[in-house]
Amino acid sequence: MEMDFCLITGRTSKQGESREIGKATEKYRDNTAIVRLNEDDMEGLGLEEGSSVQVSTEAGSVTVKARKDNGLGRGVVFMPIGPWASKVVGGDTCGTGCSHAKGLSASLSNTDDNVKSLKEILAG
Amino acid sequence: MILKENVTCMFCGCLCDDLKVEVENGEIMDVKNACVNGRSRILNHNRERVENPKVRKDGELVDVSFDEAIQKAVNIIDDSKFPLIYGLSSTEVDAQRKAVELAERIGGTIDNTASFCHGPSILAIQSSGAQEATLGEIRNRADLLVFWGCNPVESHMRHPPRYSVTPEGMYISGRSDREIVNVDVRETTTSKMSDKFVKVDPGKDYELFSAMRAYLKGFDVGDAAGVSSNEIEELVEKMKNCNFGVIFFGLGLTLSSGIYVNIEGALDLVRDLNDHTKFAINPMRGHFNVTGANAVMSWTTGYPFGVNFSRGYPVYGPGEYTAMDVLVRKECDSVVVLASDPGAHFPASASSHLKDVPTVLIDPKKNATTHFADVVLPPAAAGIETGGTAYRMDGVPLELDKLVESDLPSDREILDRIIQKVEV
Repeated sequence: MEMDFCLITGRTSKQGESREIGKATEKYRDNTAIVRLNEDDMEGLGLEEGSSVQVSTEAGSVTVKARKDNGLGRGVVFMPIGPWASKVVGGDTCGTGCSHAKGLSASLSNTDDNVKSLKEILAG
Repeated sequence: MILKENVTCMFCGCLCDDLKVEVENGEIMDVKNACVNGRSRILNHNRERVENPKVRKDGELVDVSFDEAIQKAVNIIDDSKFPLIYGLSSTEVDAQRKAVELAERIGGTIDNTASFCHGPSILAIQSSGAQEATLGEIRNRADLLVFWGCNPVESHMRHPPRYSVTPEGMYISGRSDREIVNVDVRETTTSKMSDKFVKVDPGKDYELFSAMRAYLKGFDVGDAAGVSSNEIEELVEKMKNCNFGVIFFGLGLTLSSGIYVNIEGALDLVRDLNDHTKFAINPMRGHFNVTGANAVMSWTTGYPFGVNFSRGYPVYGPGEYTAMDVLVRKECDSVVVLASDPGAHFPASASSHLKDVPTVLIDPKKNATTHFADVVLPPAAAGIETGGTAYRMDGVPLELDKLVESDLPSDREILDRIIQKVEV
């Protein structure tokens, strides 16, 4: 199952708190290598809380864990900033120095892949 | 046990300067008054630290002396035709000045993290001008706060209780004297704290600003950007009729399509509102001293970010000399990263170039950029192990505290040692 979404990246308090504990820690990965989405969208994709899900944009794709967030409307998903989200954000700044990291066209699909560690994600 | 009071936090641009820190035998034991992020930063300052300078040899980072690591950094810079210096935002002002001095000395390109953050806000302000206000003025007088494309409850946690939503001010008794509005593409914890939530369609903020300006000027407006005409009218009437309103805006505007144009829409609306009442607009700045990075680069080069010295004088070039563009186009042949982590936060198409060129990292902690670095120079942590100055998000400079001792040199000392040795 694959569905199209509008992807937003941003800060969260847990991402901020755990980055200070250490970016190589499990806690940082647990709080950062995630995508939040509406309960109905989770159901549509056949995902449960904590299921692996592949997020793909024209910039690349990455496997993260699904987390329920009903503050998001249907069709909008959210990833905390960090090395995992950086895989799906493009580098075209349109001459401004700043690329788009919010409102990206993304597709999400069910996957059996595991979430990569920081070292693995940086290696390729 | 020593209790240090009125300590300045060094997590985000709020720079809350009312922390209490307990120090015993040279160790930080507890932190009071800080938010969870500030507390985590201070209490965990010794975790995941780089303890010794390192140089990559046969693919592995190995411990070396400071002299050897600095010489290696100098060799990398001397051998480089297009050196890039990037970061600056998580250290103090004097270290930032040294980074600019190094860029000037070597004819390099220098950029700070604002370029992938509120750089677009600065571009818009350079074009349209901005009516900003200090957080003190806002706390004492503002009765309407509009949080637009930002979520302070998650990212600037003490902003609402300390500066904007609930504190008692000189002419404002507290929460009941203020109206809080949140405009965003999604419902967040900030929406829940607000009296009114306006949901805008993703990427349509400029359209909404334009519709609001049109209504303000007396035109009939229909629904726009996913917001009904009634909601637009209600929102503009609130803004027109308050005594002192403020828009606080975040990366929801700068990192969406439209980039700086979204901010121009916001600035133009605020300018128009000032025909009716007093209204201000302030960016919610992220890294604790990113505002200082812009200030320092502006005093020293005339420009806030994205500056190139190859002609012997500073040339401003957003899109040309900004780090993401230089890295994506694979133009630079060496990088010095100071107090930031582009390895984690830049798109992979940009950060991958850090692997291809020699990279020098000056940062207290192991981070994603450490994986790419060829030289790692660990400084004492600014605001914990060294003092200095940082600029709050509203441009007010505040003193940072030295809470505990460190044997490590400061960022500015490391940069100074490099400056003394590099070829001019």
